[in-house]
Amino acid sequence: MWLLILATSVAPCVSANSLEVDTPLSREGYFVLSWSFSSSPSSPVLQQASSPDFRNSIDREIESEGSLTITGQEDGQYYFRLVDGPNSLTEPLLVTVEHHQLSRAGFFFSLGLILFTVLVVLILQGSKREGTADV
Amino acid sequence: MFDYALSPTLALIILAIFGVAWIIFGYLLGRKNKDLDDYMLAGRNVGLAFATATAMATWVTSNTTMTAPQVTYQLGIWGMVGYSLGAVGLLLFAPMAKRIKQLLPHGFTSGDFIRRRYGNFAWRVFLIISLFYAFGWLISLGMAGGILVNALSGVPYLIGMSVIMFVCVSYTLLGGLRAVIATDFVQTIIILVGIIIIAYLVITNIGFESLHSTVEAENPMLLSLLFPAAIMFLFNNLLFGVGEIFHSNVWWSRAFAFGPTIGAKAYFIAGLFWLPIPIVAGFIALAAPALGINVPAADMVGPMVAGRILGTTGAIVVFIVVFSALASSLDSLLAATADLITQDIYRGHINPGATDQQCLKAGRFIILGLGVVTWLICVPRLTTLASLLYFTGAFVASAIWPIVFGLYHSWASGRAATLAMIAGSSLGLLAYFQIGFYVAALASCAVSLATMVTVSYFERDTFDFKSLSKLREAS
Repeated sequence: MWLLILATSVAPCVSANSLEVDTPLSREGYFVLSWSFSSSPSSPVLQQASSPDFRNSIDREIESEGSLTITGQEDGQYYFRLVDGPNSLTEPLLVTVEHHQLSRAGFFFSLGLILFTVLVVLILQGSKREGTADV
Repeated sequence: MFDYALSPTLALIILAIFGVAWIIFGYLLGRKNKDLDDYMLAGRNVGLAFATATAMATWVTSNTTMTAPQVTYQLGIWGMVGYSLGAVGLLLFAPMAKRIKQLLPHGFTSGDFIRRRYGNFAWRVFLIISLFYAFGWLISLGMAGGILVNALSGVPYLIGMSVIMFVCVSYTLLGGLRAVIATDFVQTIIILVGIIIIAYLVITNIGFESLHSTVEAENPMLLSLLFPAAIMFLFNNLLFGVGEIFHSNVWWSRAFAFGPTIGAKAYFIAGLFWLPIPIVAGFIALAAPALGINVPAADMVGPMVAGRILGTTGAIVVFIVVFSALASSLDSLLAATADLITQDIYRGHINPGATDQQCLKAGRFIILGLGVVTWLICVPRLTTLASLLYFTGAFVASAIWPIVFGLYHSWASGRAATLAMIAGSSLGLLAYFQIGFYVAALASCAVSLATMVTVSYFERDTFDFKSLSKLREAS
């Protein structure tokens, strides 16, 4: 019993740093990263790169615990990790962006346009007929 | 640590000053209310200036001032333009407001119309949709209050949200629709002047070139005209706005409250004035990358950017504008939803023989109850504003055709309206989960139209519109 209590109480202390994403596959080019550390790093940085070796990375200074919304990304694979100086604090996290096909977007756009046109015609016609026997 | 644009003390002082002012205003106006018509519909004779102001102020919500930046930050230029298409709902409701007043001169709620036009079953389905939407909107407004105060000043979300809820519930409770419309008038002036100041400060503080080059490098899809999700969002948002306005008692109660020839003009002018506001509000979100702001949640981008680029003075203006926008919508929604519950649930289902005085008393309890329930749901802050709001799109867009056909065509049947709302909502939800929030209203609207026309074709009704104006059950 005591061992169980001890194991439960020390669990948070040994938990690793974490870096997570709300969706590993984004169809809209935006996603939310969130992170936490097991112990406070001195100057944590979130690195973003297009390859797992993190060459030419974009670096963002971050707070010890928090989240970040990244938007407007094109199709592709994006790698993220947390570092503190030269030390990597987490494994690389992969997020894939794959936008909807334009044909699908075109279908919904056309559908919307048709619905809107029908709506305007119905209301204008109906308003014009106000006062007649039917209405 | 993030530097907040306002100190927590200053934010709370602003909240206290405006809160006390609105509550006193509500109390003074509430003393003029003598009967149920006064309390629920401001005496049914609101003039053009107040009518236009309340329509515009109600539609300039936290969703305009905070979700427009969020949508721009997520969906770029098309998101910004798509959001401004929400004005179409007001413009199209203008001729309908005239028709509503003509058909139901003694009506109280949108539910009144559905019940008399389509029967009890359609009415109950409509009530579920309407109340679900009303709660979704109320919660998004309450959440927006907390997020705004937190993003600008660091005051904890729970405190900001609670204060704003308390203020709005208090003055709506004291003054009824008369107080709501009068405060909306003042709030409209504040919003318009504030938006002009913000636009001026943004233009003088940010270079377009650096903003454009940073977004192009770091968030290229935001500037792309071939952004698939954003293209889908355009008409989805338009139809969502149409669905919100056409079905919601917020807009119907105003149509009943405005003078006989006022509604059409008021809604049309309000739509025109509203159109540029999301463009201004959304534009500032594009400055976030250039300013190097790390945005934790997309719905915080508006206040965070405003606070950073505009300094303390700008932040105060933003704070007051958004607080006014929030209050003007929250009060309207509280009043209209309370009317709907009082008339359609209390008087319609629980106590059919209720007198006006009993309804007046019940209405006040309902406003209080709505405030408490909304507060409880807002506390855990379960999702982002846009996700919550567009979830309700699947429901409201399904009510567009039953309303439009019901107002203008005698052949539209009750069964068709009921099935259109059920099928539209179901397929809209499916689209929400299978594709994304940016198609829910669109899919719902399309399925609802197909169902409405098909069922009415096989089961033609011959409704007598004159029967609507003869009835005065609610009074």
